[in-house]
Amino acid sequence: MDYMTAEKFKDIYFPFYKKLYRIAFYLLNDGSLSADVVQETYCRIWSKKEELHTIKEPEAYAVVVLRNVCLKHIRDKKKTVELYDAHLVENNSLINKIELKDNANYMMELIAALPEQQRLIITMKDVEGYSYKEIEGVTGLSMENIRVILSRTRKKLREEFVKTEQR
Amino acid sequence: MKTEYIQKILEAYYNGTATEEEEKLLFDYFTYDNTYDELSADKEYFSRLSQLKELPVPDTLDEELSEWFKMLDNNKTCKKPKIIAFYKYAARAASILLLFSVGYFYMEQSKYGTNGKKLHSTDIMNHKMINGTIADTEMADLQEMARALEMVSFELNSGLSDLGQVEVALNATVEILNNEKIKI
Repeated sequence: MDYMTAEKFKDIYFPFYKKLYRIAFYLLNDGSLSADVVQETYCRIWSKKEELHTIKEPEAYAVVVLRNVCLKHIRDKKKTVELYDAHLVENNSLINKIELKDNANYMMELIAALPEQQRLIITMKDVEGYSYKEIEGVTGLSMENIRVILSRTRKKLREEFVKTEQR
Repeated sequence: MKTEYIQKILEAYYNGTATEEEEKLLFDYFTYDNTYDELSADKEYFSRLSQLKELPVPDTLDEELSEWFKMLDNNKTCKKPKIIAFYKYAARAASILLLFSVGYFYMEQSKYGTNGKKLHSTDIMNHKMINGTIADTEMADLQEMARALEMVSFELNSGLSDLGQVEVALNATVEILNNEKIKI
């Protein structure tokens, strides 16, 4: 068989849509946009149906496509949102950290403030439980690099919790 | 579990050198065990991270994707199913309706002769043709109208072909509403 049928495509790719949604959510911090991004990801994958039978790790491949779609949205938004963001960061520093700590979204906000690569890697590893090997496949980075980035990210996040403890 | 042991694994975790088994052990430990005070920041860290795994995925996404996969044929087509598309079709239908009602109004107006007696449009044309009073401008108007109607019918047909999708979206919406009712 040279290419994938619609049924087979569904059997392989549909089961992990929730993971894709969560990764998109932690990259974009926007629920409805994330749902759109997941649909766009499936569209993009299906448009390459002639090549799909050569993909050995469908889930990792889907995350690669998803990440590209997310990056497109981040780039599109960046120019218009930059000014607003600068304003927001300034205001956030004034918000009482203890209040934030009680908020269930605290970790979400901390992750949203990370650079995209750190956001993707911490979400894949510590939220969705992907293996180092799968993350290597998605990011194209070496295991050592991934571990260094993870270490930096984990320390940065923990530091925020230690800071809130001390207040 | 001994604190020293956990602290050792924690150190490896933050340094990015922990094995995948050790990482899992930490998540389990901070989820189920009562931890010591000196590890409270870590407890916060791990429990918040664990919460992120439970981020709810909207039901509508499941519905939309299921429908999308159902409609997916083996051709290289890719239309995203979207409930919002309904408004697009509603707007199109409304504009066609408006066009028809305006057209109908003017046609009704022109059906009455000078004596107030209702005439058929063909009677008017026949009368004009017999008397040789049909003007070029009127002919041009008729042709223009024919073109406009052709365009409307084309739009209507393309709208009708998309109605299937609208129906799917509506069914999905009704199902969601029903589910909501049950929950309440």
